[in-house]
Amino acid sequence: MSSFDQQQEAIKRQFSSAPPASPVVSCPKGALTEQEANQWFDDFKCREQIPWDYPQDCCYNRAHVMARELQAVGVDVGKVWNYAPPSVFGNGLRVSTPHASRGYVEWTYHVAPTVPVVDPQGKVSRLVLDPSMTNGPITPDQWKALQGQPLSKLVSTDATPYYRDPSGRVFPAPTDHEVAQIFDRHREKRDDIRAEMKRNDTG
Amino acid sequence: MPASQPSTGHAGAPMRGPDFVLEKVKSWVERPGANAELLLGDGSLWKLKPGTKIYEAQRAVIEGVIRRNAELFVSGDKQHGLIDRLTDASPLAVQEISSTENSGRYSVAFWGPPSIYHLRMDRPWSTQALPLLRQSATSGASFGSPDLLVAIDPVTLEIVAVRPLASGKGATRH
Repeated sequence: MSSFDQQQEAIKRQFSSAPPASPVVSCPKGALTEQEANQWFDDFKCREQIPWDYPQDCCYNRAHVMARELQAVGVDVGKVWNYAPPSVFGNGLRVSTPHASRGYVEWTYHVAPTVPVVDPQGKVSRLVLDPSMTNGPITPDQWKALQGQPLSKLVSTDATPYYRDPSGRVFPAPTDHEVAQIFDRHREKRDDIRAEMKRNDTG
Repeated sequence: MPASQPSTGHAGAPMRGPDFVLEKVKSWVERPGANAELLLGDGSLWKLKPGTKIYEAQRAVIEGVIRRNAELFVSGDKQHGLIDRLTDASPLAVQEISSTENSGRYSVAFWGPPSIYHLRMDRPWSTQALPLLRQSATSGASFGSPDLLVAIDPVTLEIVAVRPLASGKGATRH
């Protein structure tokens, strides 16, 4: 055996002939890897035009804009809706937040987009992207639990409804211009709340 | 005329008035080194002192209302032109209103916005607003076809003005 062949054999011995322990999992069409889902989440959260810190309102507009953008790149996006039980008064969803003067907000419902995410074992599950409430993608059950109402009802839909009432009536999205105007109004209200809370903090 | 000054209320303090106006903006004038002037459709003239965070927030609301040709709600002292708080109004329909008064207020949910709002019964507008809100809840009005023009204090979530919406004005959502 020549010295060249010996070197070749030495190199081969550095590598196992056994099948790889963690094969690269193919990502089904329309799904995201965990890394991609985190990247999308971070990308959305950095958008200043979206008022993430206005929890009093706007979830339907935020969900619409995220869903549309994900859809445009081929993601099989859906939406998850969490409804307070009837009657909503006294049974509302309740989320703690530093962005409300009371320290919490109380909702009749909440909505966010969902995306299929494939884990390293190849299992696909739907995760919620909701930068208004969390620091990363979470499961619908985790998302529901954060809203503090065990009797609330979780409903999954495709991305089509802009607004869905508790009885299931759905309403289509307004024009892009109207969507932008809604963000404008909600940023104004967010800034008003911030200014009021600040001036009252400082006396 | 003195300009709008910060209130001394606590965080989440309700609007203080004593005057409450819901009108279109007639003119909005900013001048370097001077108070800005806001003239509303009812002829009331309001002054705002620039250079504060509150001013920046209020200016954004005023300019947004002008851009959308919408109504502006002002709480303040009309005689002296002092603004306490301001906000805009939007077309809405009532999903549900509480059947009874609790601690002097009715709870109200609208189609669309997720928060739970309230109407204080010690407010001068409450006797006019309550039947309108109740009527809306049973009228069949919905997210796509609002029947009320409603102003809401974004800080306290108090309903501060309610008017029937002229038909055909429901295109703009909350």
